[in-house]
Amino acid sequence: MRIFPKDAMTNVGRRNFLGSLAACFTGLAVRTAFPLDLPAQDGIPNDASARADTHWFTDIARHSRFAYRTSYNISGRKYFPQPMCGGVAAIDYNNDGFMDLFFTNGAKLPELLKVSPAYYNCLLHNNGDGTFDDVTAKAGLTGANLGYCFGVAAADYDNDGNQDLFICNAGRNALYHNNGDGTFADVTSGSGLEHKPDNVLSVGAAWFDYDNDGLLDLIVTNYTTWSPQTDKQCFKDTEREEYCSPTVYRSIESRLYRNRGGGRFEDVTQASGIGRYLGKGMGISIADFTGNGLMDIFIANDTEPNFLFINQGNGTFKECGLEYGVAYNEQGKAVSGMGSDARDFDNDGRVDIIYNDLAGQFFAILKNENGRSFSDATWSTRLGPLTRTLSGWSIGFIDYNNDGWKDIYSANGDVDNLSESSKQHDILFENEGGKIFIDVTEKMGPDFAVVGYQRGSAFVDLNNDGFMDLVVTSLGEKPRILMNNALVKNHWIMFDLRGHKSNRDGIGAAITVTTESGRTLYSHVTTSVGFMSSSDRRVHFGLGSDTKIDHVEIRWPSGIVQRLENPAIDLILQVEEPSEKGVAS
Amino acid sequence: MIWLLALQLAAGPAQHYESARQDFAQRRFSEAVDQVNAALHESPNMVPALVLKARLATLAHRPDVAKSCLITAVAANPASEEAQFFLGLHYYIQNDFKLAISPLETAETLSPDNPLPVFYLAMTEEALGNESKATALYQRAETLSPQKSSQSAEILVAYGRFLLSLGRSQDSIEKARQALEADPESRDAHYELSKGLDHEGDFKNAALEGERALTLPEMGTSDAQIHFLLANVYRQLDRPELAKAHLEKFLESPQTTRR
Repeated sequence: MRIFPKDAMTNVGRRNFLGSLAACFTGLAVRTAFPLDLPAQDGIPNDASARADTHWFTDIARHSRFAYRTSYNISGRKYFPQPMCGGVAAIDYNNDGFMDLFFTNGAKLPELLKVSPAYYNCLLHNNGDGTFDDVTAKAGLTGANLGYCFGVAAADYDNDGNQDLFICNAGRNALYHNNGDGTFADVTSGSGLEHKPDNVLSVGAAWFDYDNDGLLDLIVTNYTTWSPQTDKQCFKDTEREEYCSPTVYRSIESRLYRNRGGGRFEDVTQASGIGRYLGKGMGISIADFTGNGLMDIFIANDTEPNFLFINQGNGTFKECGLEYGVAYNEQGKAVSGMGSDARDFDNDGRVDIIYNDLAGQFFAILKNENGRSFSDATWSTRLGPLTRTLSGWSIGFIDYNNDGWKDIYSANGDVDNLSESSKQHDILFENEGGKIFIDVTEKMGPDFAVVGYQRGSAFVDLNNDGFMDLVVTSLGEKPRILMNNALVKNHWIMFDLRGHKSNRDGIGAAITVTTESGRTLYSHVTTSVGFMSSSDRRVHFGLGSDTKIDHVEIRWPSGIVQRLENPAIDLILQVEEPSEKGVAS
Repeated sequence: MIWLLALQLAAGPAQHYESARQDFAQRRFSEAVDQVNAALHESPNMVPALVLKARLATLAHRPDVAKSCLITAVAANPASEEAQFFLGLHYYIQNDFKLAISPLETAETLSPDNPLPVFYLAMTEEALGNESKATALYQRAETLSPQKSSQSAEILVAYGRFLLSLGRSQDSIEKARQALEADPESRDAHYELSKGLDHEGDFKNAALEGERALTLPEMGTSDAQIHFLLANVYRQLDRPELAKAHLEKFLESPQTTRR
């Protein structure tokens, strides 16, 4: 029974080793391909093979035993934060070369407690064979002492070679240090991250190095202040309760924490200028929008203007959302901004922005013109008409077919459950040459098009075959682990950066790939993609039919520029940051 | 009190309905509610009264009551074009687009010369992302609407807005210009024309149309929207002082957000 097209795996195991060169890059050997036969679990017949050859994505969650469901405690009253549940992080917590999965979960309301294992967070170990084991308890990540969890951000904040986790909550936020032995320790207390008032809803977080000192800092989006005691009750009509609009709650500031090293963080929200701006922060996208080597921050706000914090290089940020044209939609209206992503969708070398919102509005794609302003490309790319009926949460650019053009994925489902169209399916819009997007959802397959209240999502290559997979949560449901069936033979390369002077994850490093045919592709390292979620740290490029790369340029956060000549393709390239500008061939 | 009740009973449901209709037209809504309730008390399936009550309920932000009245009305008389139209309109307003189609299509069949069911069908198909259907329906609504009326201007503005969303800015400009021929004082039409010209890169005329829109009474398009558009247009015209002024006015204007 074939789950994964075998052809896609043939080149993955190639090893390209440049030993002790100052600038070296290594093709990461993949230990095993996923087997072609997988056991059926939970009484669900294994019928994936029938679909694998005709549809792009197949849900393999059924092959693993785990209890996690996105538990948002829907019974009884409708509490304001309930619709935001089910963050996802892709994290290789044990450094075995296979990305594992972490999920956040809700809590019993109004108690705001994880009163039973049904509300526990979940860590799934990727066995490398298409199955996952629930290792949550062993890893110490149940979060039993946390409240209602929202977003999660994965990164190696202490540069010890192990990816850690930060979890956003109603109640205290939590920093989990990866001990490197399969367990995590809650190190929030004493870290400087523990002072958040319990009534602040922290929704999303992103790791990035805003001062390029080699230590990852942390930005946390806060939505509003809320507690079960201050929860407002809203009704659609006399019979039906509905979730209140966020406009009935106050706006608050996001928080920026500077990593001082040694597991200590300093709250620099006010000193950085970020604290001057109040919003209802949701998705965070980190990128160098101006091209000056400093990481900037885009925050999608719900019913408030979006923020674009431009890094001034002196520890402060200037909010330029209005000036740069990203704060409002084309009609000058603030929309219900949800998830966001920042990547170069038209391969012009500038980082663009996408964010989604609710039905009746339109997802927005903002084209970076010159590093000084954005033009609204929602209509010129045809994204507008494609999204008018969608309520989106997580979103991101994903080159699902490795053609070298970043496509758009969005996890959808209404906030509430009151209309015929509340349950929605995810969408995939294919990027046609950086000009327009077309809806190819139908080709993605029935596992992809399941209707529900989808929320978090992560892009991750779970089987290291060079085709990006998808993991999606849905309220009240088990997550879907959607394996990309790699239906085409396009080429690819993936970069696994190891910073030395820069942060070890290489977050913020900008990568330019120039193929032999002269195509130039751009991306950068970030785990912050979509909504409440954290994607594969490794940077993926589809190469289309190009069989050779002429050169690769990596601009590290340290300022070091590294050039790689003619690297092999169809592999995961491990690249060490050189001590100075270097060329490898 | 007793004599009032007796008087009401004596008046009969038709009389109550007629009073309610007049009160509604004169925006005396609470009086209209009393009268329509009296009519329905005596004749619970009186379709025009049910429709009027639904319209009053919609104004009072009671979509549940409106829906209930309209479903009763349609059940009582499926051949009522008015009941079918307002049921479709109700679903459209509630964003239940799929449910809106059937009653609107029935209304269209019952009254093929009426542009309104076709117009709302066009907007419903637009909302569902069915572009070719929406285009054909907008075209029909335009053909059916009386020449040079505010209704035809409204239809043309929506048609033009839809065409702009498809990237057809030249066609959108043409519709906005036709709308202005029908109703030269339409703020929405001047605004849409300004947007179309902006898309076409004719910033000078976009500015003129935007400024004209600002002088007209605020109905659909808000001051904030126009200031926002003009700020962008003046930026393109390299008039930073005007761009800044409109941006400031935009920020001072009441912002509309919705969910």
